[in-house]
Amino acid sequence: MIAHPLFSGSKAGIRRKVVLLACMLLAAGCAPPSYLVLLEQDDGKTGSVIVTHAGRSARLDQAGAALALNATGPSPLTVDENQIRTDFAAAMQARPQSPQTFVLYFEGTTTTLTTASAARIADIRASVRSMPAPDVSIVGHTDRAGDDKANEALGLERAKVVRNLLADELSAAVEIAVTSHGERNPLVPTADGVLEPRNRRVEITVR
Amino acid sequence: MSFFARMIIAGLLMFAFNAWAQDSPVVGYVKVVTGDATLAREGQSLAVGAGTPLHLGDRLRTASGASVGLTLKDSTLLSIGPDSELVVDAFLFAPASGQLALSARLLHGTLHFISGIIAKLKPEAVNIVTPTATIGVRGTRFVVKVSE
Repeated sequence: MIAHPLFSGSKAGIRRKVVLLACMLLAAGCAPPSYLVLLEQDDGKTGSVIVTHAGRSARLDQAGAALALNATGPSPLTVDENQIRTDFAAAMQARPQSPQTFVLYFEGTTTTLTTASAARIADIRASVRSMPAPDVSIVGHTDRAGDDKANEALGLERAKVVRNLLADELSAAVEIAVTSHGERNPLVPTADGVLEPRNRRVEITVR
Repeated sequence: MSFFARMIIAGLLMFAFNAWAQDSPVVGYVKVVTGDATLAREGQSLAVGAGTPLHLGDRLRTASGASVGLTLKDSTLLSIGPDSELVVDAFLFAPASGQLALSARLLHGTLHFISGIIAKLKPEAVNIVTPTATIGVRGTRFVVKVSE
């Protein structure tokens, strides 16, 4: 009997080969049981992944590039778009809304919002309302004029002012964190004691 | 050891265990749910809905036809499809002190991953693990499927 390599081996091996043959005949290509596909981000850029297993490693940096994740390690793979859609439609549809961040600025060493920033409150309210189970953090900052302790307190006062402006919307939040970084986390680095309007701010993240 | 001594020790252990479970930090919240999804925490199974907190070590499972989307505290977006199981094993998000780490495990099913702030600040601190792969993330979006 002539043993063709495609039909030799164990029962499981034969089954695998039959599946492989069917895939070859269909030409569309079957996806392996475990695989990864790199995708383009919302901003149009594509990052990269480094996959390691069983002493082997592979790097992907092109959108649409894929790897089979075998017990013997990752190996290059071509997957057809329909297959990706079929396998991942549910996971992709369950993707949560992207969190939003806002930065509001203050006058001098006060807790009074600048006119431009006060006008943005409506957008932040709308953002909190549109987010399911919102998890909101409000972080106050100051410039480096004045002493550290006073700035820590001023940062917190600013954050509280913003929280109060959002009080109605925040009643639906699952978590609200109101904190101060004082002068420790400037947007624009300066020497100590320097007045810098861009550092007198509150950063709001709506997750 | 007397029966009472044993009961007292058991009680203390349970108290310590509960305290530990309470302390296990919230890593994110469930935002989107379709179908039946549960969360297994220390032998208990909890139903999952929008707003359910995910703690470190919780096992999130979806039934067939179900899916769940989560937003972590660093804005990482994780969503799983049907017949999937996901656990967040490590999560540190304290940018001010440089403490950053995210490790999650997909035991089976499908995952859509969009990286958050931890991956931006310290890419080498993020990895997604499957039975046959450790995925190092360099600020990115990908899908991964695990099946036998």
